[in-house]
Amino acid sequence: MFTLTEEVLRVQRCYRTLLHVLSRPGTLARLDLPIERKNRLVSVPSPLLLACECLLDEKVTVSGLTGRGRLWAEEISRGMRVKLAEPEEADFVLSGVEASTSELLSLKRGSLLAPEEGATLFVYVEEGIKGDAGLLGFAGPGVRGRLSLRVSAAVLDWASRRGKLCFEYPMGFEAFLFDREGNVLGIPRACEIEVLKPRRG
Amino acid sequence: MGYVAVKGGEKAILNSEELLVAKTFGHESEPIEVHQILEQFALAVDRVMGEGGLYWPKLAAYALKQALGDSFEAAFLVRAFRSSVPRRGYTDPIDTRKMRVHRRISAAFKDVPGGQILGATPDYGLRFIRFDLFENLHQARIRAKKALENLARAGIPIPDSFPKIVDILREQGLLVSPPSAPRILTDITMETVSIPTSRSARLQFLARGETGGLLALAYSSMRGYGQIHPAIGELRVGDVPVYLEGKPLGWIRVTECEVISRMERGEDQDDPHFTMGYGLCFGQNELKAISMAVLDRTMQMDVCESPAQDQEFVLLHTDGIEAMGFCLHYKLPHYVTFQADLNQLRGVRRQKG
Repeated sequence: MFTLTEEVLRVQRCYRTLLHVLSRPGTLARLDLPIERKNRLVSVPSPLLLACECLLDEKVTVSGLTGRGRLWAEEISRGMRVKLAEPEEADFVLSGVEASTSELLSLKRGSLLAPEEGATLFVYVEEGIKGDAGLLGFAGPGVRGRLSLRVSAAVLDWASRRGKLCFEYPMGFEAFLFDREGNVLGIPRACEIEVLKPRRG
Repeated sequence: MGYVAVKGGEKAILNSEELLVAKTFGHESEPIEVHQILEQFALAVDRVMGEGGLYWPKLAAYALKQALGDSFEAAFLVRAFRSSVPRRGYTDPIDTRKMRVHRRISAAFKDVPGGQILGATPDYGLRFIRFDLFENLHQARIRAKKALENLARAGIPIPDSFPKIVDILREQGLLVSPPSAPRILTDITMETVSIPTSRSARLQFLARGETGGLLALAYSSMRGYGQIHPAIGELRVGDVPVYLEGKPLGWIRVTECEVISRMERGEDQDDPHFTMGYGLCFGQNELKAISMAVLDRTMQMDVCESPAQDQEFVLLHTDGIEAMGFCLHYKLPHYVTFQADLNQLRGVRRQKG
């Protein structure tokens, strides 16, 4: 009943990593992914599953954006006893990187009195976060001056859509981007992101 | 209240953390192993679990080691850990009638049904430091082991369960009836509690309250700031089974205290009867369970004439982690707020001069 298993320690390391990247926007970190997957929730990519195991429980709601996101959310809901909700009502939203601006706009952003009710978005980037498609600039709390990061085309497009969203602070949502290698990027609601060098063509 | 974000001095802060880590392992002695803390500082471990609000002895032992033995800091670490783990559900209510008793006493009745089980306690000894135990550790351990073996040979096995004193008093109509359990319990870890609050919330606050804080307020009531002179109907320390949706999870050690207090004439009862206060906390922490039971009783009073009867005063000032956090934040930079105070003071002096 009270054993400090590798699973517990891994979830703790994941928690620390998520906290780290959210307080340092523009900084990539690597999740410590399990070498062997449990034979459950097979459709959910490992980094997303680990983040869900870390932050989701039966007290929160989950939803999905994009076809894959909805599939993952349903599987997480079944396997982890997390209540399923519509995207505009969910505490946690799983999404493919192709989610549109209007879909992003539909997420819970909290209120001036209860900004903590804003959603947390998990975005899975199949092709990887890092890349040579362009340069993203990060500014805001947690960034000294401005920080830039070379990213893939998918992330650049997503960031460009996220950059257009305008919420009255402290309202908004937090986002984590994950890729298959376990890289994770945190984008808190107060973070300004800007496409510094767009890809050609 | 104004706060200033801590900025700068990053290198100094990192160095400070390194120094702290080095202290955790000691310089001139062997590092203390977690299993040693678990066994030989068991009461400290229990206290940290209770105040941290999480039953996990090994984790509490880790926290105590990391916190260099500071129970406040260790409880903070445990509660922070607790907030980072998923909630899998609510366990079924534990039944302390099924407790495997290690210790069970009543200060109300000498010949209590089932007998008094003193267990291991310093209650009846003199508070001398036993240098003889430490001057020759090896010999002392051998003597202690032999004594334990003799006790085990001569002793009578402890029954699986004991009758509860309060049940006997209730059967005789001498004790107030237990309140019916509410259909939905407040969960203070998930809900914002407003005062006055339900008894279930009050008991939860007390269960993870800081032992010293609870004692201070309970003692104020015992001394006269309030009118509770408790008699300990029963104090139990032992292990109880825990179930989740009917499935057994394991056993946890708890301390339970029922204090019998002043007579009252109830609204629906003509005959006067005793009233009761209840305390239950993780591990063995008798001081906390007794203080908790006293405060549970003081907060049931209709009148509020002393701090120990005031729910807000008791509940919001006995959470060690909140109180500690607020107290310690004053060590962090308040440069801007203090500059404002200085400017104001100088301004007033200028006007005066």
